[in-house]
Amino acid sequence: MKLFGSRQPKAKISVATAPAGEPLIKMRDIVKVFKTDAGDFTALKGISIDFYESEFISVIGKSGSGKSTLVNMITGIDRPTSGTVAIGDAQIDQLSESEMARWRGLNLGIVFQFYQLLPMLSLIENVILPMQLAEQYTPAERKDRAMQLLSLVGLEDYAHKMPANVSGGQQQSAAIARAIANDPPIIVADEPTGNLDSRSAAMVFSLFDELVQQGKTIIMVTHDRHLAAKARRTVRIHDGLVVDDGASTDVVDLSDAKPSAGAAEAATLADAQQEEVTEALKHAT
Amino acid sequence: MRPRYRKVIADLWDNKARTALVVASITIGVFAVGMISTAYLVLPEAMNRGFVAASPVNIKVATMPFGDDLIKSVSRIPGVGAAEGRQTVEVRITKADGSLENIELIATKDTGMHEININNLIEGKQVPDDNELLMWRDGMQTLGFSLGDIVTLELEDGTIRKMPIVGVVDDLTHDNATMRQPRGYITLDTVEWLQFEPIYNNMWVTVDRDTDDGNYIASVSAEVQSKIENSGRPVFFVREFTSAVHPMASIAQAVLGILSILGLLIVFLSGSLIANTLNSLITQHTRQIGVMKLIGARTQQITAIYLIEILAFSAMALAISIPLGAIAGYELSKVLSTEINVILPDRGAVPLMPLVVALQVFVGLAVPLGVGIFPIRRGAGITVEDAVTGGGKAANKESKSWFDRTMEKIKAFQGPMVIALRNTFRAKGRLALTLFTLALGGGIFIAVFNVRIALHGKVDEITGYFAADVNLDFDRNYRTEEIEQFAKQIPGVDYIEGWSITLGDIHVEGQQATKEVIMFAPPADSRLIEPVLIAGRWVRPGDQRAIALNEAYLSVNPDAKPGDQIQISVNGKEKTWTIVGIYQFTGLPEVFGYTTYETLSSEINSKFHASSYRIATQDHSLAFQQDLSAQIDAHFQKNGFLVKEAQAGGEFRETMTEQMDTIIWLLLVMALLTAVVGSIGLAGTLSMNILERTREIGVLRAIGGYNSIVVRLVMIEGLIIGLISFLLAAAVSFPISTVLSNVITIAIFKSPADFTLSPNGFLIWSLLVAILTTVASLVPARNAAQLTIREVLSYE
Repeated sequence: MKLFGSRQPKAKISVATAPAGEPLIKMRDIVKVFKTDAGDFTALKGISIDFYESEFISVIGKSGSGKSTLVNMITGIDRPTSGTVAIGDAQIDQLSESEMARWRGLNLGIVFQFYQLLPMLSLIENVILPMQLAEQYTPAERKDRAMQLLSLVGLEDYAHKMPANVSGGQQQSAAIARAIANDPPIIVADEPTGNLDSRSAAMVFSLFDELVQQGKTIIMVTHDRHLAAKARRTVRIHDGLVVDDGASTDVVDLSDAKPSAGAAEAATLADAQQEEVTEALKHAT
Repeated sequence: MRPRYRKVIADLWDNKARTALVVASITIGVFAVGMISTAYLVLPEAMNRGFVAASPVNIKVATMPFGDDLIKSVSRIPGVGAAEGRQTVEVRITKADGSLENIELIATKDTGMHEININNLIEGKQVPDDNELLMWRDGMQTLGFSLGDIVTLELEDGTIRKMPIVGVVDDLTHDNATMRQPRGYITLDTVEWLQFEPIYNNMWVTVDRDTDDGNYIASVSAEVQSKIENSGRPVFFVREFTSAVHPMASIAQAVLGILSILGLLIVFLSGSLIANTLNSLITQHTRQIGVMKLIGARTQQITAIYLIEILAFSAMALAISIPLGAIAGYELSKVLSTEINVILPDRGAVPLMPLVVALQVFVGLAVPLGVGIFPIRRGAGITVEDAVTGGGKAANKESKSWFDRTMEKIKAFQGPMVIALRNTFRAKGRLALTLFTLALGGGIFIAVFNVRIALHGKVDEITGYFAADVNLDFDRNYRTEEIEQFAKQIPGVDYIEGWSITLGDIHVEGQQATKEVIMFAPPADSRLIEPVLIAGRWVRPGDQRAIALNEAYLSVNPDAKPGDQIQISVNGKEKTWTIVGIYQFTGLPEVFGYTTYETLSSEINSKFHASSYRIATQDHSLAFQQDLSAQIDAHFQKNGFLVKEAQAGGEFRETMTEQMDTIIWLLLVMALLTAVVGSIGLAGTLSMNILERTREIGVLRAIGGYNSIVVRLVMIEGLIIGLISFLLAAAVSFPISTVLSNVITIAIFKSPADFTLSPNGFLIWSLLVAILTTVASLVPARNAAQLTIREVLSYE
């Protein structure tokens, strides 16, 4: 018995890219069945979809529609029961947990609804950590870069604070800084503004928008149609199937959920903040 | 089944690792209680039963040869219960390995008709026929024989006699824990065959009542001595013994006492383990408790549910630990019984003892309930809001100690190392209990090695008074110069000293009776003795009738001090001697005195002569000593000397240290048991930490933390705990060593030990703690590495 699972040789992990015009993320015939005591539940019913470089995609749908399950297939948090997920050259549904973690370190930044900073590390240490894990940059460069990223999200004065000592918005900003620490081509955000006030939510949007300008692909799960409308492309999931996929302005009958209290305001604020963020981001990335 | 009971069963069954951890924690404590209390009941009971059944002697008088008439006459003295005659002779026996050793043979007319010191038959015949030998059990082991072997005896004139061993017996009245000369039992006719006179030279007497009253025994003894002297025979020496309590009872009590303290410690440690696990269980169940409250459960009802869970844990632990404790208790008694000369009843005759079971049930219920009630009350008393929000507002106001702030400032480490370091100190209460358990286990473990060295030092100190590398005894006096010349012809002999040894009688002021003193007289400039003086000084060249007495003399005359003048009869002449010092010996009741060879040889008219020699060899190893003893024996015999015995001094030491080592092994087993409790505690702590940090591990994976990073985090945390516990263990080992050494040496030798430090204990424990922490971290680390982010999200 292998106590810790197979220890794979450190294969060279490349950053995911796609030839011009080709999709960066290719999902084919994705079926996901959850086995429960009440019987099998099919969360995804054969979804095939592509995502391209520099796209800002919002994934929307009712609770239980399968939207989080869909992005979990991209992050490798979950695996399809059948079907394939290819990102760049990597067939990620074939990777082991440990390989997936290594791959993810270089290619994917994840932003959670509840920030998920490691509570025992300061904000700057949280940002440095992905670089250490992926063995990117020299130690001195890591520190400089982490500080630049924290400045980018307006946290330079809070760099050495512990997560418990800053606000939710600041934690989420630090989490975004952490997500882009290794300059990954893809960022996946699951309800990133669900726990934030409108000003913080706007800041997050501005950041995302500018990251897209820089060539990142952002896939964001949200309930909020106003915020979803800020993305360039919106994918609507219903009952395990993609029922709409198009430019965000085309999205009709977006939601089953009410917009969050600050969402509309956030959308406006986002435009105002975008310019200052753009400037900072240029330096960081 | 009512839902609340279904919940209890589900809680027990769903988290089997946690259930196993709590049950194991309770089991170890209850097991230790069962084992030690079984030994506590079985051993003293067997000890006293065997001792009383053997009808131990109260008065031993050595005199000139006598017959049945004197025995009859003594037995008619008021106060005498029984009187018997014994002939005690000493011959040389060839051991199974071919070397020679002296054996004491005790003879009576009919060994089957004894009323005093009745032997307990182990195997073979109870009564030897003529020219047959019954052997004492310990002697069989020392000499390397078994039942049916033919032994070879060498008589004074070189005649060889062969005798079969027809039986193995145990003398349950045996009173000497430290020096065991082989002993055998023969008939009086056999004595004649061995070229000794077939008559008695020892009168053994029991008193008719008050066998624990030393004064009563002394008064009867005075009458017996008077009767013997009136028959025209001198009394060479008298020894008196009380017989209500086994002579080894105090040692047994001390060992059992130490084991009991260790047992209580294990119960205490297992209690801390249980507290840790139950704390974690309640923390994990906070939301469930909130939900139960939300649907109407009252605090008392929730408390009852968790108390029932604790009772279920206890029931499982008791089912395992009661039978195991009984078996281990019997085996522990068995190990101790061989050391303290006790015959145990068969295992089958020792059923589960109600008192032990009651104690185990009490400990098995009281400890978990006692330590569990606090987290349960805390958990059951939580408000619904706090329960469903994971602690509510209070939890967000995290107060930080200076320690937390210091940890946050540590910049020397990076990444996983700093995470592991800070993680270690997050659950401080849990860490403290784990460290306490591991450090105490380690402290005891290290201390046991120090105690071993201290005990061996004590043995060296004691054997140094009478044993050199080789003790050479002759059947008669020879000129010391002559013996020296012959000895130096043997390669390996460094130097030799001739010692005068004789018996004297000290006239104790205000008492009619005298106290026998065994007088040793090495040369005044002897290099062999390093005395431990309680008062005064050692004898010096130029001293005139100066004597240093052992501490036993203080029980005869508590006011004795250096400078006192006492009357001692030596060789029939009473003279004034000056006490120059009191030295520490073994705590034996016999009085030993050291004077100079020059003084004593003059008193006994044997100047320049001695029958007892001490030889220092160039190599002090036991093998060398044994080899040289054989050479010395052969060399002197070949040259016509009447050698009584040439014995390696290391053999005395070996015999004594073997017994000490049995106690050490017992302590070591208990220390290991403590260490196992500590390791279980560590494994539990790490598992609970991981359970509570599942989300963080998932996040780490989400940002690129691969398997070995996750494993490393847990392993480093385990090793940090191991390292801190080692440092604490090293610190607490000092006081533990002192207390343990003193308790044992005072029980056995009636004097405290010198504090000694053994690097072995520290080294072995450092290795062991590294292994234990690694093993204890492996499973939690593996579990952590196998966590997937999806599981983390479902945990959320």
